[in-house]
Amino acid sequence: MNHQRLLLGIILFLLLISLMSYYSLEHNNHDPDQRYILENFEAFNGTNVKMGGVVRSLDRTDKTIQIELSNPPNYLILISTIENISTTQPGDIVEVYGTLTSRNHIEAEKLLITERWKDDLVYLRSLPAVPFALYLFFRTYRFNTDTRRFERRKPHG
Amino acid sequence: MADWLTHTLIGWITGKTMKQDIALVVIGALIPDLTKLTLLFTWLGVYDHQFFDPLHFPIGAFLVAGIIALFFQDIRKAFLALGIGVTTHFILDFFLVHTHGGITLLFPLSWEGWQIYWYRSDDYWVTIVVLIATFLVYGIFWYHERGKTNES
Repeated sequence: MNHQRLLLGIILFLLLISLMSYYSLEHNNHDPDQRYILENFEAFNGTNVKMGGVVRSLDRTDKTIQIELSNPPNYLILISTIENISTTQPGDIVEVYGTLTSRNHIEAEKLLITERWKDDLVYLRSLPAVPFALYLFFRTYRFNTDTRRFERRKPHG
Repeated sequence: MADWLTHTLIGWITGKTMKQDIALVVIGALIPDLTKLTLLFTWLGVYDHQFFDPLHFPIGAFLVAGIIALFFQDIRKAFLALGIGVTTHFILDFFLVHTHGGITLLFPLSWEGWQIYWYRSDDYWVTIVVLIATFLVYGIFWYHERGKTNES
């Protein structure tokens, strides 16, 4: 029985790693990430792309926002928008979908701006979830090192 | 993503009302966000080539649930509870607002993303409503159990 579990575990693990490797190798052909888009700018010039980052500066008169991309190499991108950015502040989080018109400029079609404190709050209110989940789990189960399985601490607990 | 507190509370409510293993449903509800391992690589300045993204697709999350279930006596029962948790995660994330795209539900058969733009991930009112719902469910079950104890 233990050998069957081990075999099943190896099969599931290999399936998962294959799936992750396949996605990693192929995703730029189907759903390119922002790094790939900017490194292959010519292929994406004039097409709609999605990017995200942190507001570094903005011009409310020209309705432009300069963002630093959230992932390395953290390029600076200028976004032109027709949406209201009167309450936007440097540090806010931006997700943009629009036309890439040059290597560092996007004409926004849709813009999602999240105030910095609200974005921080998402992570802050996620914190209690970890001890809560661990408490629930280890109140119910204990790990038996002999059988290498989790066992219930008490019946119907 | 919805915050982890909302995910765990929805998992708790689901486990409680469906009379499933609450601990495993709650753990299952967090499995798809193992994809956040990518943040560690970003922090280290290492480009991970989106390697962890499939953990936030149903097939990847269910495979992880399957691997975890192997560490329990009753594999099927453990997988069922973890799977229910995984499902609650995707239902909750399915309604998140994005500028474009959505959850790649049918990967590797399709790369299409699906989403119903309903609430924003930074909307703390969702967490507050779920928190109130959790207390309500807890209260109802507590009242019901107390009634049963008094009868016997």
